[in-house]
Amino acid sequence: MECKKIEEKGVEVCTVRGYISFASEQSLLAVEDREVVEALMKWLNVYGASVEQNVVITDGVEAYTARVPGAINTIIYRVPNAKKVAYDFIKYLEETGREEWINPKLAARLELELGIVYVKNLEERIKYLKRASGEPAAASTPAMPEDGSEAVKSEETAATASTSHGEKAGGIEEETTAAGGSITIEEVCRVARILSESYGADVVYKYLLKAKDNPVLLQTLYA
Amino acid sequence: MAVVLRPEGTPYHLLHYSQFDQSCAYLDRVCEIIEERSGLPAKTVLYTMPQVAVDYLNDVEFEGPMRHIWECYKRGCLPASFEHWPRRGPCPGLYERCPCGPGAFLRDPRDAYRCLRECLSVTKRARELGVELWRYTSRKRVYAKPVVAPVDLLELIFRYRPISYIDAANCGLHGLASLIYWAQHKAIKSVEDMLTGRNEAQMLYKVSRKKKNAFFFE
Repeated sequence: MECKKIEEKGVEVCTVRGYISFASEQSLLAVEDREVVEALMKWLNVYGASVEQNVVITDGVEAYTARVPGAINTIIYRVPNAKKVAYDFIKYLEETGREEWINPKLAARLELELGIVYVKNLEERIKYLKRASGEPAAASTPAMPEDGSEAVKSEETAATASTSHGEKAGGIEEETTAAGGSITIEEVCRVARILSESYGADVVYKYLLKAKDNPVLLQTLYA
Repeated sequence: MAVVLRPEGTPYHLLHYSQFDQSCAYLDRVCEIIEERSGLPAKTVLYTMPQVAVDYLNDVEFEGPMRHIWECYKRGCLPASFEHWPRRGPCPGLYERCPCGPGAFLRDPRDAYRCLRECLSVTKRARELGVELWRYTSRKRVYAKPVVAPVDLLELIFRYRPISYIDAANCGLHGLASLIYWAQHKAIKSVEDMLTGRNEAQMLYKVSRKKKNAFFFE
């Protein structure tokens, strides 16, 4: 087994003939295909390798492997941060349009363990909340301020969304009592929507029957 | 040496976030093993990416009355819809369709995609909202990654155009009712009933003969 150690990066690169199986192997690739060779070669060029070979990234405990059919050599990277290097490899494949070769579960697990997913998740959630708040049901809410406060606002809306069943019911009772007075069609729709979410069609029907007492509202409803 | 566990609950207990610690108590050391191997709290793993949690149980063996369903969970053949909701009123005529419940998020991403694409109640809302449940590669093939925080995503999707789980249950859409209840309350109804001693939605523990055979003769 030939090995060379790169002291600066703390990386040990070994080349072995054939393939050594590791105790806890996890394949980085979903498919073992000839087409993967090209991608692997480009990635391996970073480390100065120029032969078709299997890749093993290991920190001594976990081993992340990318096996190439027909390869006669295996290059083993012993790195302290095997997860990060494996994730870089996956990212490289993703960015170059080769997502279908990736083992998606392992990619997701690495994201989770490296803490990458949290930031992404938060951003996505804010994006969805922004879109959701643009709906006609929430049109009556004041317009959102710029940038930083937007995130806070959307977190607040998320918090309100996760309130318990009981709290929601309390809010609904208040709104239904107010229905006797002068309310707009938007308000009726909003209450009906909340009721349908929590109580079902029967309750919505009863509420709309009550709302019928208001002649202006009735006119708008059946217009 | 393989770890042998004897859980009293089903894998669906892992999705019961509202009383997570209590439901984990029924699962022998499953949550502890996930915690040890991931280096993260079990709830974080299961809340953020429930689909990858099964990877941490690779060399675990199960025994006891729940052995079959746990083995199914490991092999990725877990039934996606698993609860029976009794009808308590008239069906208001929902134009909805969803054969899968929250169990879909305990399956392999590819299987979850196959199940979710049939769930028009979710896909049509997601499309209208611009939410991506799966991606397409440059070759126009589906690239199904595990869904990040699926319960949050479903909460947003169902807030966009709400359906009541009671209506879904009254219309016999058991999977949809479970899915909506999970999204709204972060809880699995049958697990909640088990913990609180009520009996509103029944969990179907049985693995179908076909799936059992697939498990034995695979």
